[in-house]
Amino acid sequence: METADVADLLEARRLRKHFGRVAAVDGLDFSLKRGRTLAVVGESGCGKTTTAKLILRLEQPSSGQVLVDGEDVHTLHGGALRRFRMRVQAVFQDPWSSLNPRKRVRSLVAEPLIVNERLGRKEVDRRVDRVLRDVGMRPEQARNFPHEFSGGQRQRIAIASALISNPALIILDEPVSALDVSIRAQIMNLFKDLQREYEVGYLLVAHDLGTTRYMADDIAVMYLGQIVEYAPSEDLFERPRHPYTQALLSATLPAHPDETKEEIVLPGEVPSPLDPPSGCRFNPRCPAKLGPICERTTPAVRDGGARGHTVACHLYPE
Amino acid sequence: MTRPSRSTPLEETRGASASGELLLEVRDLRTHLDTKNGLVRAVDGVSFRLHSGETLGIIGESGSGKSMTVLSMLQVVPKPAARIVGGEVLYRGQNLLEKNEREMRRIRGREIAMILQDPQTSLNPVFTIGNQIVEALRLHRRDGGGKALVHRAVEALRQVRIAAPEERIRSYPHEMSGGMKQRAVGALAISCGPRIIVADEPTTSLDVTIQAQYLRLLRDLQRETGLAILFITHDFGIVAKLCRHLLVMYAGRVVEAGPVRAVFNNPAHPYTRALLGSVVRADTKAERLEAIAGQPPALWGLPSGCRFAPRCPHADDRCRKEYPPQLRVRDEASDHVASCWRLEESHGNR
Repeated sequence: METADVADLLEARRLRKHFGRVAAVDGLDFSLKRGRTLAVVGESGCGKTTTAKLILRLEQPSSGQVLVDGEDVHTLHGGALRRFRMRVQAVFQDPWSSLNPRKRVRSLVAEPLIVNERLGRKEVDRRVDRVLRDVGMRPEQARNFPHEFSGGQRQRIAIASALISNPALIILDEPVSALDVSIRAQIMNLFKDLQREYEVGYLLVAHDLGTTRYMADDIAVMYLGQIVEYAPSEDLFERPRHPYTQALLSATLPAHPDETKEEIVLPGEVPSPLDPPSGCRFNPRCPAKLGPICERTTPAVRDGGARGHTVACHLYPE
Repeated sequence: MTRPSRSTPLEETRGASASGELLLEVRDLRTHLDTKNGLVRAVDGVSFRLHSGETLGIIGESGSGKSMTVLSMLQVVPKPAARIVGGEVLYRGQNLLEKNEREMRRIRGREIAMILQDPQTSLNPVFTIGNQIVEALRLHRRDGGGKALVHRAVEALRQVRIAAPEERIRSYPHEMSGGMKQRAVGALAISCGPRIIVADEPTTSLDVTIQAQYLRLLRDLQRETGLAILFITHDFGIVAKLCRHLLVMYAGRVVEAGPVRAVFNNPAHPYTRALLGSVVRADTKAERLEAIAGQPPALWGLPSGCRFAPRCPHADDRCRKEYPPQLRVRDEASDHVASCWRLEESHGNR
């Protein structure tokens, strides 16, 4: 991976998190620039949610660092920590459980301001007003309770609450997968518009590759706690290098009944992280396995053929 | 070392098998729900046919009535809130809605089996998977004693490609991964040799590569046994991959129906078109998604006219007042229909 410069909004360095014997996240390096979107994709158990939690300080890393604006977020105190909480926000999958049902929209949306900033009531109202308009709601809806809204509207409320403190980074954890198909497009368009307007960076955690292609500038593909491929989004979709990425892309559903593509059906399931395979962790399921080297040696990160494209696989020269 | 199977897309089988025996014909099915907001016409005049060896997709968003349709078919609607108030469900000529609970118990599982979204809720956590399949066989088949039943349970697990089925019948659900549990539910469903499987979003909780395995499995099982599959989903990708025919539901009604290829090539109802247009695709990069304005409708106090009218760019006064009749869409497929007043105008290409 390239060494990122200090100006990066977000950077992970050799990030590790162990739960007992399970290495949920096992040595991640990635970076994200302001106003850009990095997607972390992978299947259950790959460590993408743990990664999001480490960035949000909901988990402490076992080793390694998460830097936001060059500062290690796990060593912050006092004013610096308060500043971090303003600058880094999150939107989660399920807008039914992420909003307190007993609070009105105004206090849900204003909460990050009230907790972290000393502002007058008028100023808070003004900011709530503005952010509700920005997410496509009417200011008078601030008086309502969450149960009065549909799933899509609730997600807009959650987004408003994440935006109000003018964050530099928002973690989007499967932000549209609980929404109806006809609503997803609205919300994804909204994320894009807001990114331009607020110049906010997104770290998107998703399993749906369509969502990822639409939203992301860069993509990190994870398998069993490690990044197996890292590339600019278009390059990854057009020229996937890692056999796992290739299988993942081939498993996406067709857009038309006449679409034919070679489907790589992987045998078996993701092995238990309690007892990960030695060498390359993907080797027991890999259709392109070379031989003993894959079972013995952890593949180093190699050049993936394009700028910013790297792959951890023995198939490619070091 | 095991290698993955590379084979032709699921595609192929769909065109190949001509329609078999007419197994199921649903006519004008109506189910009402009493809610605190008033009466909801959850299923409001749904009709379709299903032949052996065929896969029919029902696509719709939450509240479209797609699940309630199949629950009504099998008379397992949530009581007392839901009432089936009209229509016929003809299974091989017999109206299931006239059958009593005792008779229905012989239909469910043995003739028509169901696979639900969440395998966790379909399996009993305190019994082994083998026990649960044997129990189902004992209820429905009654032929053969203990050993023969265990043997058949092993065979059912083998059919759904569970490795080492002789060992696995002694496993409890918690000892299995999500994908394997969903296979076990599949084994339970096919164990009694049903003619129809109703699959209600069975892959929603599965990972992408496991979903691919599962869809392939369903296709293979269908090829081996001539099963008819009724597949409920919100995902056009699954329909494109697996189904031959398609119903599009909106607010309790079928708004468009036809062969999958015809509907994809020539979507006639503005809702179908908008829904297809708003799907994010992994195969190309979209600059901007075409979003459908507004929200899915609240099901109480629906407009008397077309239910999609409030969100439809083509709606006029008649659309808002009168529900449109079902019209034939003019294309190569004779059974492509849509309910829209403005079919000709809004559907500009012909």
